[in-house]
Order: sequence, then structure tokens, then C-alpha cells
Amino acid sequence: MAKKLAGYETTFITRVDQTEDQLKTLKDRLFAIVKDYKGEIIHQEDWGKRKFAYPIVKEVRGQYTHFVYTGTSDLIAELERNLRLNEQTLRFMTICLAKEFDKDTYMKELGTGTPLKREERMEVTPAPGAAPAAAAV
Amino acid sequence: MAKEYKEKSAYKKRPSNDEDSYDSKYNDMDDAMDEGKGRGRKFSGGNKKKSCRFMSGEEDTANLTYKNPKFLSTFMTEHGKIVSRRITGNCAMVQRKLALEIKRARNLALLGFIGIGPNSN
Repeated sequence: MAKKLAGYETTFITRVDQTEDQLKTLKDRLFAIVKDYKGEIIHQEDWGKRKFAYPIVKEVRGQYTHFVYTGTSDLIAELERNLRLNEQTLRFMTICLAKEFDKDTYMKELGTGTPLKREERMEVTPAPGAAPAAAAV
Repeated sequence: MAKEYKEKSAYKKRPSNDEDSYDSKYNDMDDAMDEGKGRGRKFSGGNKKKSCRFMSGEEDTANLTYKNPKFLSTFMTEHGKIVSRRITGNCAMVQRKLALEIKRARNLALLGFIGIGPNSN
């Protein structure tokens, strides 16, 4: 029986002035890398544009993307290298979910997740044209 | 038997009302706790029997992720500090997970290091 691969999730933040095509090419490249290393993309989400809690590289808003995948440990290094090289990504974070990842349990938990989760995540902040909230401190 | 209790109390130098009774040992402990009267009463808060709201089923531990910044921010002060477990009543395991998730959210700019988040003034 094939040994179960470890499950990871990566969230990365890109600039807002990026076009949709650029984001799509980045995502396609990352997913191709996962397949090359014999991993599997399990779930993918776009959290959309959000306002940051503090400025990152003097940017106030960013676009969040999140995906869950299985793979070996050397896959992570390759993915992060690609994210680092890309000029449009501001930040990324990879978390190990389980050493032996079970897809079915994860998908079940996703389905029964509270609706509050999804609402909060797709928070569309008002455009910068509108009066911005007072800066923190 | 009476002699043993006397010797113990003498060694530990605790004041005891009745040195021969079995209850004196527990009376001694209560007195010792009340000795720091000013300090003890200031910090006790009176919530000795508060139970963890996650373990008792009121809240779902599945909500404790960095993907729920609004929910996590209920456990932070207005200045962005994580509230101690003594006040919220969380159990140790939940508090550790909560702290980990808040720190992850902070790094992703979903929560702030100073202040709660994007909508804090």
C-alpha cells in the first residue's frame, strides 16, 4: 500500500494591482510543481482582496490565495523558492496539516465548517476612494 | 498519633488552632493562603469554577484557526494583546492553540501586532 503523503496548506499574498492573468499563471505554475513532485492539490480558495492590519512593503491591501495539497518535503522548498522569486508576492506561509494526510476527513471537515468562516474570509473591503478608517496608532 | 501532627506543624511553623485534630492540617493550609490577603484577593477575580467554553461544547474548536480573525480577535485586548487564560477561562490546551493561531494570523496581516486588525481605530 502506498504510504500516505503529508498534507500542507499554503497561503500567499499578492499585490492588488496584479491582473487576473498574472495571478492565474502563478497559480498554474505552482500547481504544476505540485504535480511534478507527485503531489495532489486537494482544495483551493481565493480569499479575495483584503485590507492589511499593518502595511506590508508600504502596501495597504492585498490579494489572498490559499490552497491545500499533499506532497513530500522537498516539494515545499521548491514551492517557496518560486513564491519568493515572484515579484508580485508579498508574503507566504506554509503549514503542515498532518504527517499522514487523509483527504476524506479533511473534505468532511470542510463541508461541516461553520458558515461564519466563509463569510468572514470573503471580506471585501471598500475601495481606497472611500474615506479610509483612521490609521492605527 | 497526636505527637506526629505536633511535630509536623512545628517543622513547618504554621499557626494552627487545634494541634491535635486531623483537620488542623487543612486549617493551616487555608490560613497560609489567606496570609497574602491583599494580593490574593486582588488577583483571584472570583472565577474559580469557570470552565473552558470549548471543552464544555459552547464553542467549536474548529473555529480556532487563523482563517477566522474576527473570532480570534474576541480573545485579544483593544491594543492587540492576547488575553490571559485566567480571565477568559480557557483550558491550557485551547490557550496554546489560540496563541499559535493568533500569531499565525498576525504574520499574515489578518490580525495586528498593535491593535486588533484592519478595522481598529
